[in-house]
Amino acid sequence: MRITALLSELFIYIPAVLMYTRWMGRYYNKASPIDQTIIAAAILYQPSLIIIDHGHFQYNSVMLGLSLFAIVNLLENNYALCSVFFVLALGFKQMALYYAPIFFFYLLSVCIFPFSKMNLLRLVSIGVSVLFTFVLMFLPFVYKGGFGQIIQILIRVFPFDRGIFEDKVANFWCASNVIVKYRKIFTQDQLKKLSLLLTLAGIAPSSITIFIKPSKKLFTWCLASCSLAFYLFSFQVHEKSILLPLMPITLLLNEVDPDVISMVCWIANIALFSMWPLLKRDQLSLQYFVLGILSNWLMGNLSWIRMYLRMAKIPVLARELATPVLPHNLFWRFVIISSYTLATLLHILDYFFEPPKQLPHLWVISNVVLSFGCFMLFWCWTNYKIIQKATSKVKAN
Amino acid sequence: MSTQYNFSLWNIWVASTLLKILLFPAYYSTDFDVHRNWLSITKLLPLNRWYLENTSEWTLDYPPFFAYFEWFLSLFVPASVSQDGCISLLAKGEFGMPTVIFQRSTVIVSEIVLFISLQYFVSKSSNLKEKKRNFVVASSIVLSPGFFMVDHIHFQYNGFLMGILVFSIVNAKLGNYLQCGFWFAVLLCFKHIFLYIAPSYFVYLLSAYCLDSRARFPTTISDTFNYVKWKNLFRLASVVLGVFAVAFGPFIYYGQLYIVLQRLFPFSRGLTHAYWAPNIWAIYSLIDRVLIQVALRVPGTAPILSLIFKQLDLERLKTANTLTRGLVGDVEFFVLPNIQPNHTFLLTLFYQSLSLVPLFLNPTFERFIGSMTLCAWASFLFGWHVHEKAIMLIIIPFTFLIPRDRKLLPLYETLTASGYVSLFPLLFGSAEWLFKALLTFVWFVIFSNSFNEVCDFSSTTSRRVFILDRLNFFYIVGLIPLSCVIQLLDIQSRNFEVLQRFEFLRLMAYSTYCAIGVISSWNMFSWLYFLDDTLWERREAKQKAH
Repeated sequence: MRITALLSELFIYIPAVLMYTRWMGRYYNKASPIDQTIIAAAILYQPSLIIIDHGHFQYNSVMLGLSLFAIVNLLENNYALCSVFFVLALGFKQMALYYAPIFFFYLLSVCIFPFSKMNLLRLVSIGVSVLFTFVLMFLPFVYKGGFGQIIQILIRVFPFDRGIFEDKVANFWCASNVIVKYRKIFTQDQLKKLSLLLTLAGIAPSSITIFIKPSKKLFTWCLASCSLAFYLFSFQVHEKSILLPLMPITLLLNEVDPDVISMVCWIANIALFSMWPLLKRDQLSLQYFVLGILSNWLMGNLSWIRMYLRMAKIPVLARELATPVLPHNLFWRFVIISSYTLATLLHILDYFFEPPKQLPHLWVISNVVLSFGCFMLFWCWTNYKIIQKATSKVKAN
Repeated sequence: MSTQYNFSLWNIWVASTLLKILLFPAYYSTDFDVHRNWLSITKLLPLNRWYLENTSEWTLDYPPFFAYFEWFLSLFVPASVSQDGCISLLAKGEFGMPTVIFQRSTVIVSEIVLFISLQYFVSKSSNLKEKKRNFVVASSIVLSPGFFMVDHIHFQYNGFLMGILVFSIVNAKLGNYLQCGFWFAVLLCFKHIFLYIAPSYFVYLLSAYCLDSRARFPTTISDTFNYVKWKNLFRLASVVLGVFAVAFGPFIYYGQLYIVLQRLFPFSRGLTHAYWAPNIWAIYSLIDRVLIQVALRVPGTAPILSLIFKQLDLERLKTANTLTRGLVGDVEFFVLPNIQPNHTFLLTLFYQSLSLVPLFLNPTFERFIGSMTLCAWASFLFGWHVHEKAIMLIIIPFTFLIPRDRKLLPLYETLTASGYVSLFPLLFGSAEWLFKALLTFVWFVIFSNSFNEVCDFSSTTSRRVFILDRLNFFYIVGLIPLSCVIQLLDIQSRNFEVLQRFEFLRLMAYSTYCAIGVISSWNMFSWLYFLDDTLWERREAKQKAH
């Protein structure tokens, strides 16, 4: 079983990431092949994904890889193939819906703008390929059990009657539940509508931008923002779902801007941190710490230790500090440092003290609140970046 | 920026340590309980009871320094770990994860000695080219899959012992003979398996430090007297004896020296270990097994065989005719003559002394390392009850020689490939298979390439035998299907009863196939050692010749 997970990653996720960075290197950031490889390695060496797929055991990398193939094909203007891959990803795991609005709006906008020469043929070909793939996927089930099967599948796949959140997840509902007890105020149906409304509001900025301005530069940013919005506001989210926003977020490493890189590293760490309760239950705490430290070390985030070591006269790299660990913006510096401090504090408390009797989930809840705060801030930042990028391009034109 | 290297093992240390921490929950062998028991013995009992204690079958059978080392470690056992069952004298230890974490981290911490010694080795190189080379040597040693498998999964403390050996080797290279002798004496008092290479140390230090090489070869008594540098001899002797006195002194005081020595050298064990180490005796046992089958299956061969070898008792043969036999480690041969301890001892001594003669006549550093390698090799191939782990004792000194000449590289590749693969059966779980196989493969590819880059081409005409080169290559590649197939059979043996009966056959396949590699690389090395003199000259002399 473990080997199947390894192999599926090897054959689907890794080639997809390589293709993505190759494309980015060629058309976007003009990175040299060695840099491309380094970026790809940094994307692949993602502790959260490794630990969930191979420790907790899931096949996320298949779905992520298929979505990545869709992205790559989209970047190369193979729209039909892109939609086929995306439908496959959806068919593998319904979670790929987190990406769906962006794909949908991008493809739509590519087809219908400019109005004067609407590309109907393209629209039809995309539609046909989507339908065809869906039909192909469901055909075996229909063949065996008639159309009732499909409804059964849909019910299984989208369990809306399970409540707004199950475990402690670092999203809006769970975090604000500390103050407002939603389940007492609203009924299940009202909650569904509320979450739908909030999700729509959350994905609106990115979707609208990509609809108005279908630019390849914005695509990854919009994916990141949109899937993060889904994670934050939608119904029935798992801790593991953070992997979905995390994939496009790590793809942002292709922006060779040090500020972006440090932000991405930060959010990757927070994502790992947000899964701590789950991993602790799975007895993966050792792997959690080691992988976390190792990835940060490889990213150069721990180079500040080196400075202190040099004072202690231990022979270490005489290289200058390569990447700035913190972004230049003072506000973000403050946020990042304080969030790390709080996270460390929580770990220490969690290890040494039992939570108070009347609040048995205190540590978990504070973990949720802290990660939620960080995700929320990051989401705002991505939206800010999207708008900034979208408008700056207008000026350039 | 990239033109300036700094040759620091720091990054390797960080990365490999994190990897080793990930290995914490992996399989551990009975050696783990052995060391845990020693911790308890040294913690709970007074010194004079250490070598008498026998509650558990894992009695203390390492020399005193190792016992002191365990005592030192036992000072750091936290209360939570000792409550977990780490410190208790039982026949069989009962412990949980905290004990495992504690003991595994002691291995990692003690291995720092190896890193420090190799960093010292790198920093002592004279020029940039040599530094580059030594860095490759150093990193190949610290990343060696042998340490990962034996120390960090199987559980032993070889890392820091090898570190001490490296200290001694570096001092020999620098010409600090006293320190070289000192470190080696310390090492011997840690683990007596290093006696394998003691002859070459003895001859080297005697010839290079205690004898006057410029003087005439002694013919009269007074000549002999002048031939010896008495001052050096006394210095060295006092250092070495001092170390031994510190180690064994307390036990001599209690009058237990004999007991200690008896613990250290148990001759009651069999010729081969439960799993045959890949040496001559593996091949010998294989031939015996094959002949048993021949005698039983092919009519008419039994009388011929008994004519050649020894009187065959067919009844006994039939009872012996199970392939599972051998798991208990019995050493009775049914067709071939039985082997006694003194046979193996004589064979070992013979091959060791062969390698010592050139060293005595021409005590250069290169010869010294060469003879050390050969001594370890001879003991490994012919010794009594050799563990497969002793292969590290050949590989580690050998690594220091590789950059000398490209000619050594192919045989080093054969040796490391077969040697490390022969360690695979130590970790028989299927969970570790991917790790050990991948690690060995990656290590092999990386370092055979980097050695290829930094090695010197020999100035003499290179004698490459094309067929042998190819054969070598095919042999090494053959190890991959070997280990894959055996692992598959291992997994399948859970499903099929038939395969379980052949478990020993699988181990036999490992040890005989690897034995071929170890023995043939030994042949190649001996050839170069005895016949290719330019390889072993002092480096300065070689440079002058150019």
